Amino acid sequence: MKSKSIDRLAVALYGMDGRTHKTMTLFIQGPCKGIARIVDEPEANVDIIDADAMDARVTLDHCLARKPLRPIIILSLEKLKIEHTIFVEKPAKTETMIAALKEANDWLKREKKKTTKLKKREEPSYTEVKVEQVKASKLKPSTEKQTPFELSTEKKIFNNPIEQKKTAKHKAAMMINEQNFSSFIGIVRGVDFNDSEQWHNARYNPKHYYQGYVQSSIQVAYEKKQIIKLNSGWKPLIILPHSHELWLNADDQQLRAFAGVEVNSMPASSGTSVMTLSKVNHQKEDFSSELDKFQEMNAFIWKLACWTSKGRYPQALNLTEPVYLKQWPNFTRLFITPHAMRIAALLIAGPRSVLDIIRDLKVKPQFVFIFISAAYAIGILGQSKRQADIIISAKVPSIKSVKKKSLFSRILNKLRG
Amino acid sequence: MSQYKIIFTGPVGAGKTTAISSLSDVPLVKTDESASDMTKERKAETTVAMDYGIMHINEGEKIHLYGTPGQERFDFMWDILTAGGIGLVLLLDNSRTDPFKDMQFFLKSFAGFIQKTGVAIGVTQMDISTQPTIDNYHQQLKELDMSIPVFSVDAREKKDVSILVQALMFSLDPGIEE
Repeated sequence: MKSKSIDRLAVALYGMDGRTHKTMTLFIQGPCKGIARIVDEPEANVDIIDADAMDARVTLDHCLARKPLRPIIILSLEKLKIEHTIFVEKPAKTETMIAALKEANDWLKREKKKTTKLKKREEPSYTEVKVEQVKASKLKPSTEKQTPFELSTEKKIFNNPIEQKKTAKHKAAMMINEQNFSSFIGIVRGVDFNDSEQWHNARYNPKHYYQGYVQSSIQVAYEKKQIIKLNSGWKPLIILPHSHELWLNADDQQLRAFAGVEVNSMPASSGTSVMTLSKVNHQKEDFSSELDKFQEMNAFIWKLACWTSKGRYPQALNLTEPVYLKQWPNFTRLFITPHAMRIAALLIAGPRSVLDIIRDLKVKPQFVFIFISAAYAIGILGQSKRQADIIISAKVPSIKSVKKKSLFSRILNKLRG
Repeated sequence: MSQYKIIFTGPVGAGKTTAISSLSDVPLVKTDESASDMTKERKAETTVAMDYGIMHINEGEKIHLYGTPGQERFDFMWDILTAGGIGLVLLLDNSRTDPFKDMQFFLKSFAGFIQKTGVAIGVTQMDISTQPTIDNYHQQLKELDMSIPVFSVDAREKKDVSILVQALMFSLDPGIEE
């Protein structure tokens, strides 16, 4: 039975490997009577740090720098006295841990009272900036001359303590395999990918989809160096060019559904066929309660392109001419579509046509198409226009038979579980 | 049975020991000691000899995971460690004063090994220090005429370290079938 004397705390654990993490979770659920639950860092209101972990100092500094400060419980074999922390000596005993959690709870209550009082007196933290709605039909940025307030405004927003909590934007990669590709990415109707004659029909124009509007808006935001909101009948999207982030109050499932529909095919009554850009009035936009809605710009565009493409390729690219990859995508923060790493490795070795990639890697065309769509959307893939690239492409040998191929395959299987 | 190695290198505090722990199937053999020199400012304990972990990939077949000591004064060991290695994982701490200098130092130090095998770079501490960006690393590498995988990595996350090593495998041979 849970202790009635304290609210159920949300605790984040640091410096613990998988096994210790699990043990601590069970310890808090069981002997500590579930007075706290273990959550991810952004959701937590209490931190527990294993001070004997190698990177404990860095973690502690990070937690102490957080504003507003959360109660921090330090676990250590050595007796430690660190300001603003609650110490629990290892091995942690039930009574000591419960006492520490209660102390954390009291601390939170005290802080809450203080904050409520302060809020009543406090002036708005930002100076007001007048923002006018840009009148535009479809997607047209404002042409009127405006004062260059945007950079300072963005600084005001993001130098705010809330910036410290935006950890949710750094999402780890998701690997999509061949089996769950269709269910996760979607299906393109009207194209039989088994028939190579039909591949040329598997084109799409990003400009006809939400992806195109988002990309154009991002371009405007960067050119004007200002925070911009893309308004549609759907969810507003806020573009923050200086921090290379976006803010969208929608989950991935909603985004996936919206990404796959042509904007022009949406009913006029939905209001989604007209999109406008406006400056952001951050007095009206409350980011602070929705910090998990911040997303890293490239990671967002990448997944948006994946869900728009659904295995098709952008019509600006030609399947028979070589494409090149400027650099490896930052795969640890992106969706990894089937064979994406192989395709990247092959293109890094030299430009090739899309058809050659399909042939050389012996993979389904939609896996190559979706990769080139996403890489093209974030600007790291292009079609070779120079004669030199075409010559290089012609000289790129087919995949060599590497001596350790089967060893590498076994390592890969192990890593992919 | 053949024995193969993957080498993890990088400056002090970049997360080599943690990364090896994330992948190893056995408890890590750590040789951390209390730091007594300038490394103390970055880490209370540091690897003075090497870290060692094992990844079992098949019946009896193992991949040995070796972490080089972070301090430059132990670089005499690097040649010994890399013998028989199949690739290099270079971890860089983005919060250090000059991570590009670190990158150049390690790429130069392991140039011979990299030429024979391959390298993938993981940049750690990007949540603490967002600059330089991954694109900035690629720009630096372009000047060195290198196109290698560079990923943001949280060394505590097995998935991150795994993706980095997978990219290393693919850069060695894009023909590996998934």
